[in-house]
Amino acid sequence: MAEVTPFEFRPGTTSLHYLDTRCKFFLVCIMSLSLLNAGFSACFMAFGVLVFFLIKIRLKAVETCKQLKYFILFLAFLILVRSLTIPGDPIVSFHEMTVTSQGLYQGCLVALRFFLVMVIGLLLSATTRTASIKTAVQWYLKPLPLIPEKRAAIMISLALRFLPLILKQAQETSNAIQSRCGNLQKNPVKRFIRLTLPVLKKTFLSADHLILAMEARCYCENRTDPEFKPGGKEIIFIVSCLGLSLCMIVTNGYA
Amino acid sequence: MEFPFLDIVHLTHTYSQGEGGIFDISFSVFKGEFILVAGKNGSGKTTLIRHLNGLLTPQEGKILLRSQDISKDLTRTRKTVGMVFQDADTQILGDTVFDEVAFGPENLNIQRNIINEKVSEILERLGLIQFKDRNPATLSGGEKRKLAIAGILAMDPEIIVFDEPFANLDHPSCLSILSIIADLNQNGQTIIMATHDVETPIEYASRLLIMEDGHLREDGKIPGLIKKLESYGVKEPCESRIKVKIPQWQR
Repeated sequence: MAEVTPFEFRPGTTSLHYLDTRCKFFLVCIMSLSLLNAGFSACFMAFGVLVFFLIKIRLKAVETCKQLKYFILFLAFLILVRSLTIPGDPIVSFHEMTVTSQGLYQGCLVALRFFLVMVIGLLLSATTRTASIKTAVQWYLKPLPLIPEKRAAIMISLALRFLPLILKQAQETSNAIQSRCGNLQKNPVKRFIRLTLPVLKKTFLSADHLILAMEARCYCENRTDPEFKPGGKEIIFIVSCLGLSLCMIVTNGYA
Repeated sequence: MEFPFLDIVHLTHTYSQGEGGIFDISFSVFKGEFILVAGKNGSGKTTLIRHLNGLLTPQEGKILLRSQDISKDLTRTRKTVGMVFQDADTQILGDTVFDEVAFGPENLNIQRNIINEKVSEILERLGLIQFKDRNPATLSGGEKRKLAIAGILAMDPEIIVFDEPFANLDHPSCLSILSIIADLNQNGQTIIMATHDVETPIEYASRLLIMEDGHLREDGKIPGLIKKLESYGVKEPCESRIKVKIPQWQR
């Protein structure tokens, strides 16, 4: 038995699970757009709402953060770069490098926005079947000319399928390295290379296996797609989401 | 005279790295047979069976399904010849147990209500119905193997090819999988099973093929070949060694 990675679908009975996938896509777009220009107060407002849903779908915060540690490291790197590159009032100076308060503020804000967008994606993937996501993408792309909607939808669903696979393989590779005292290696570059090269290799191998498994069961573009089943709360969610976005915009105006 | 269901004719496939592969393999499969393909690791069993539903293309030779070359219609071939992979994890693609079983029929563009009925019936039959909304990743090894079989059964294949179906399974799971396979065969399904563990399924098999270094060395009825197994690196079943009848595995 294996641990389910945060980006994998978790069957459940929450209202998010029963929401029509097309509606979820719309909500994701609205929330992501609202976060683009959001300040700290608006971000915290959105954070509160997202935490509520994370609790509802029973995602364990510590476990999730552990599995997303590389993404969190990336955010830390982002804060550091912003702190060092944006001019302003110095907080700390070390040799030629200066951390500025404006840089730190901007870095934290951008990192928080990224983090929230990631949480929105996580909520979507944890409560929606990959096949339903594929069908919803197909539905949205269908009216657009010159876009092969079925092919594009397959590519998106494959990318979504690979995300948990990559996370799992990173975890397994990390375990294999640590079981042979790889953690004694202090050089971060060497540690990074030791982890990423095998993960990449395994990911390509898994891609081959995935193709074989799909071919063995006659995978094709023209297949029976899942039906959309509106759960009945779509209007409530859309109105609430638009309300939240409005609040975030108003909060930004006052900030 | 009975005509072969599947005809493998002078099949050869070599890999670019120069090691492994299969060479000039010919045999026929008749309806309702239970064929064991035995051989030690690296003898070419997996390469051979991956040709049977067109996952690998022969470099020489051909495979005929009811006298028609399988490469002419791969969808028909893959629908007729179902393949259960050695590692169930690589075969499972659905987000839930139900979705996983529905994956094959969905690819065949079958109507949704028929798919739903068929999937529920198969899950019921294999004792997986209580897991239908579970994420397959949370199932045990034996349950995953059952799920992989269910995913193939949903496509109504006439032949099912198993690649090491007992690998990495505990004893009760082996018994459970064996019982499913035996039932399928008794109901007329043709079974081809590649394995190095001959002991578990031998009681139900009707024919034995022994492979070595990519060549088909032996092909015949079990009693005539069982004593030759060890000379090809495959363990001879205890029953044959000690010449005492051992109760069926299934019991």
